[in-house]
Amino acid sequence: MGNNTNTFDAIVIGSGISGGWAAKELCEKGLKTLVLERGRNVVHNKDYPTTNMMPWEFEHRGQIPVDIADKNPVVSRCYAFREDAMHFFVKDTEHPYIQQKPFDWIRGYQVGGKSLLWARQTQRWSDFDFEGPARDGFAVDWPIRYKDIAPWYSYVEKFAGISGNKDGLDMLPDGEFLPPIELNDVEKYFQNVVAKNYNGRHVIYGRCAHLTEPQKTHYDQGRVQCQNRTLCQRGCPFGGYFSSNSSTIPWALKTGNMTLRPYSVVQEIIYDDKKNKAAGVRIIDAQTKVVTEYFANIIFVNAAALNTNLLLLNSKSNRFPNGFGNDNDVLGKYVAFHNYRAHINAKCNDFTNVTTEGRRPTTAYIPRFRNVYKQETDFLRGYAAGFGAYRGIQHDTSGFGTELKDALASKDLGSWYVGSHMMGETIPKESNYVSLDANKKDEWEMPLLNINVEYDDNDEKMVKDFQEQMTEMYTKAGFTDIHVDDSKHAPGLDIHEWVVCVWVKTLKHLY
Amino acid sequence: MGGVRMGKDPKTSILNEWNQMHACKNVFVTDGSCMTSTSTQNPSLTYMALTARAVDYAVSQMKKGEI
Repeated sequence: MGNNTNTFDAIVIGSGISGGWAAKELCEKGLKTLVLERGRNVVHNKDYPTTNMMPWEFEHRGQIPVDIADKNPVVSRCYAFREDAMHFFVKDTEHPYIQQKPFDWIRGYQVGGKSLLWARQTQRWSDFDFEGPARDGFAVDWPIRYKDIAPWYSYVEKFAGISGNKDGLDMLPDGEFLPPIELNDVEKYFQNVVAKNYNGRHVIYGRCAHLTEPQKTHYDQGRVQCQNRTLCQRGCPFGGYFSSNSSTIPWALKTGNMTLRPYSVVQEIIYDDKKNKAAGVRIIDAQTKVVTEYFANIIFVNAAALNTNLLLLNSKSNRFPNGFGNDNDVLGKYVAFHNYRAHINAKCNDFTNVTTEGRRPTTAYIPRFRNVYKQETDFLRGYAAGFGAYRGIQHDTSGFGTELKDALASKDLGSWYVGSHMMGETIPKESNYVSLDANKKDEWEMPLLNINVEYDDNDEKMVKDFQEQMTEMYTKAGFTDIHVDDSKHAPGLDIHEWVVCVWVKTLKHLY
Repeated sequence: MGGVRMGKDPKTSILNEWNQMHACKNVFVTDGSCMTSTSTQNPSLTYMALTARAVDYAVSQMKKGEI
């Protein structure tokens, strides 16, 4: 076995949202823990190069240069891949994979992973979710129920800092909330319209991992109140939102029990035939290509969903010839995702006497209302939705010279616009799977991942239902110029885009 | 999400109710690959809670000499 310097109590593979939590918890419990991260280190504040830059300080004014966009079509489809944050995204060209069916795989290879880039929206599951597969006859039954995880939701919410409103809804249990982020008048109006017209449909304050009123535990982490900059993807110098970098990783480091090793691509989990358990891991240094083995008694795998599949499939031994832990040929199968395809935008002609100023990191949220208590449609499960209203300043840019300057300087308010996007549950199926490519490897000797994931008829019906139901709800609210959209984009892409995409699309359609 | 799903039966799932491998007791998987189904919620809060829960279990098992 390994020498002392390569032996730890625990190893955590990955440092994103879940790896950071594993590191914090293991270190706090006194275990000497090695955290392996395949990318570079990103130290809170120190390694956020763009965080305080002004728009005009960006060489391309925030846009992705055409040559980079052309070479990297997948990552370029992600709403957050812009000049201010592109250093936190994996470029298509750097880490290829094989799309047996179109799949937009968005990755962040650095300490903190995608926790720097996530949309920070945080809702608890309820038993309507955990009981879903058993009730509706798909996948397998969850081995846990809400009561098993509820205290742990409370535990992580208090440390991470979650803002929200206690709404008392069966399908979306309340949490340990900091004050919610305010809705504007049009959003509150829609909330009332929906409450008046529908049983079981709710428009609520978005719940998100932002410190609206920091507590001692957050100050102890060195984090302060969210400033509503909405520049989160650059890394937040205030620690205003939860990321591994601002929270769990420095917390774990402070215990003195964590060893963080960036540039460590884990190739394989090593199985010990004599002890009938995992002995450790084999890594290749991403830069030097030197191969090293590390050993530990407990291994946490947190490489992000598809890379964890890749690692386990690649960890073959006499005991596990088909991949680590894969005695049943289930590994790599039943992959599912969220369906974000449909959007609906419209105009609100009322409320012309009010507007808003400033920014906020979330908007309103509509919890799932389809098939909650019983099956009521010809598709299984349902969708949640983001909802937001926005009033922008409209500039007439048709003139020249003084006329143009005056027009640009004017503060004439236009109409209110509303936008919503669906977040649909997809059904895990054996035919949606990932596998190792038999021939192609990357420069770290890892087989390329084949991705074979697609929408099905259930998803198509759900897109249509979202469009119909939201059109009806918008109509009841008196919104006009309703525009429904089905982006038909490939699965993947969901680092959980939020309402930003609605504005981009709204502006595209309406201006 | 998914691919390394949780479940009650070792014949049809990879992980048990503690995100622990059915077939190898000292390996835990608590990222998005463990998800048996996806529901509609943004999943990261659930990954955090499952992770803290799994570490608590793993360390208690280690102290009992079970791992």
